[in-house]
Amino acid sequence: MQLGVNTILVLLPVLYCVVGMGYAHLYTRKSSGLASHARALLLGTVALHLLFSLLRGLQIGSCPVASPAEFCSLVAFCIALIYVGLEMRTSDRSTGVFILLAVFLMQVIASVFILSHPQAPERTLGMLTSLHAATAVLSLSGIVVASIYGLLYLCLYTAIKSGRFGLFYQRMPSLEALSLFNSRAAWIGFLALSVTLFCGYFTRSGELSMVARVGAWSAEVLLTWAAWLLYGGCLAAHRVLHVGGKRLAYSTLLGLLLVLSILAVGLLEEGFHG
Amino acid sequence: MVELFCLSLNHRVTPLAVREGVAFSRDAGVSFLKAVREHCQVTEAMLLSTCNRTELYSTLSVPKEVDHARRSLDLLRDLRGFQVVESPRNYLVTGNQNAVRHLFRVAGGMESQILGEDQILGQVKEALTWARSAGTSGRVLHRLWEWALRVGKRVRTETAIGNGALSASHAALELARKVFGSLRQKQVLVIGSGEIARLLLESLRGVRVGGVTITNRTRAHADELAGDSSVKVRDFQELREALVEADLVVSSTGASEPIVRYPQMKEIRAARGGERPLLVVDLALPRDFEERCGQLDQVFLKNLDDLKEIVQRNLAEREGELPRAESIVEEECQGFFAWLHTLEVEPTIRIVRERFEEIRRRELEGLRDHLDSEAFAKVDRITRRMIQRLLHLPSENLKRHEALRDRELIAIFHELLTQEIPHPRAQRHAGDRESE
Repeated sequence: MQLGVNTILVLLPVLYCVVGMGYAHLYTRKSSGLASHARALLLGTVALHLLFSLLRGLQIGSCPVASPAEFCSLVAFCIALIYVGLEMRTSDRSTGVFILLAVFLMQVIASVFILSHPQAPERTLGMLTSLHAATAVLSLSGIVVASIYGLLYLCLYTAIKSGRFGLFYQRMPSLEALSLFNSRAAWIGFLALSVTLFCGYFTRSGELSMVARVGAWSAEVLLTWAAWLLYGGCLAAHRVLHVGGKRLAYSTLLGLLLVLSILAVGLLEEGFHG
Repeated sequence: MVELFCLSLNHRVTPLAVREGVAFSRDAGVSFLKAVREHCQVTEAMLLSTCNRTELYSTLSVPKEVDHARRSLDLLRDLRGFQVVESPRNYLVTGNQNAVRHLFRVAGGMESQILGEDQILGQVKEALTWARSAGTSGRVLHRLWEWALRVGKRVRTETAIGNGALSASHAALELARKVFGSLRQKQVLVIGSGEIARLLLESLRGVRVGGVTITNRTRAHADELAGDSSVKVRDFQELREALVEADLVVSSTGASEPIVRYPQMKEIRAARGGERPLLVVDLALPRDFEERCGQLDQVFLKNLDDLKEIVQRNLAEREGELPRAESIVEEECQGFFAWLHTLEVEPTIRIVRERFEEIRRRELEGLRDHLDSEAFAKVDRITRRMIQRLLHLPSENLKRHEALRDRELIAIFHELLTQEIPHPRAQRHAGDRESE
């Protein structure tokens, strides 16, 4: 099984790179002939990534987030999965190159780290902790996707405002569509983050030291709650007051910074999640 | 042998004044096609007539292209008063490969005045119905036309040759789509009632929008422009309210001063609430909206220069797609001629098959008295299948072999496979008898 896992680990960055190049070609040339191949290859790669996660899960006997690298790989998988869902619903492929660039970079880091540290400490997680970890991965993925769409929204907004009607302007979907993708991905991130916090709060197994520190209001916990409040507030304003577009884009980017700082604090203090 | 021929009077070689004289309506086109069949000895004919071109495509059984061109030109002169000018030539005559390539380029929008425009596809389709009505559509041209329509669609789907607006009014709508996506629930406000407003309303006719409102200082002009359509007309005094409700504004008044200034727009922006974007396309000169209005959040103020840039970029992108479109045309040209080639070897294949079948039947008849009906049917089935299998490979090779694109070789093969060449000795005996 180890050989299979390692082979997939090598293959995944290569495949994401090829898919990314296909989408880049699609972005620059807008050839519909290539589109179906690029999508088929993306689906195949995501399926292979799923197989990798399952094999790795079987290998360690729980949700495969034993190390930051595995966390990174799972986030890459979830980002790709969220993108596939958005692409299937909207048929828009022009933003794929940006999302897949993030996926590729994350998977490269994950593969290099996992392959170069084969004896990384493995931890077996309980049911609730596994759910906590899985939803944390999903929430980070949703937030990353929302941030990419937020950034694209801001770039297109600026391009239209300043009258730069180049390739970026021509290829992007409408501002309204980007805002919609931004809010949908933000919803995924927010809901998953809510479950993460809920599970984290009620976990008492002591598998993760952060969970044990919930009551102590550490920097990680404070930042997580801040990110949750920020996303919750923004999405409520979006739904009730129809605040969207630029403000939502800025908020999701701020939310990503908060979430990344949570990870940074966790890593700097005592290693990943202690 | 089928010869393809095309006589083209198009915007590249024929002046507009001359093209006007040879443009055909449906009925006139059908009558002309009938006249072509009668006077030009063609086997099939198609007429493509648009504002930019009048083109006659025909197939001839006699390969005398020049005579046919002369006859067609004479017919055009007699029926439509077309005067031939030889230097520089105001018409174009092409044959076979070039004629097919030309039609495919036309269908792909590559010969259009507005590169990549898609109206031509409908016009090519229309030409087919004219030929059907005139009874001049046959196997070759019908297939050629279907092929051309397919090429037109392929060029548009596999390249970006038809992407992007090339007129100011369409560029304004393209910009609106870039901001709002769908315009289905968006309110369009047109300020002014001049030529630009009229063109915009025309462009909006094929687009589903939430509603269109016109406002103009002289209300009667706005009423006149709106006509009986569903377009709403508002008094110019209600401009502020109309701007609060609108999503897309196209302004083209003849005012010498801006009609909306920054403080007013700031107030309108506040009244709109939320983050509802407002796209203002100011096509007036001097401008109707103060430039600073565009600095407001979610207010996109664009002018004529912006639209010009969009149009130029779109045109450059379309031109950049030409090489890919050309390669599609070349590929399809080869495909069509491969099919046309099968028509030329078809008689040979048919005769060979008939001869084999005749021999089979003759031999089978000899067996009829020796076999019961069941065994006879079995032998009949087996021999038929055997002949089909034996002839399949040579038939397919005859259709596909590159060497058989040469008509002389086709004639030799036809003779070899279908005609009985007397034995040299028999020929000598015959010669001796004649000399005696």
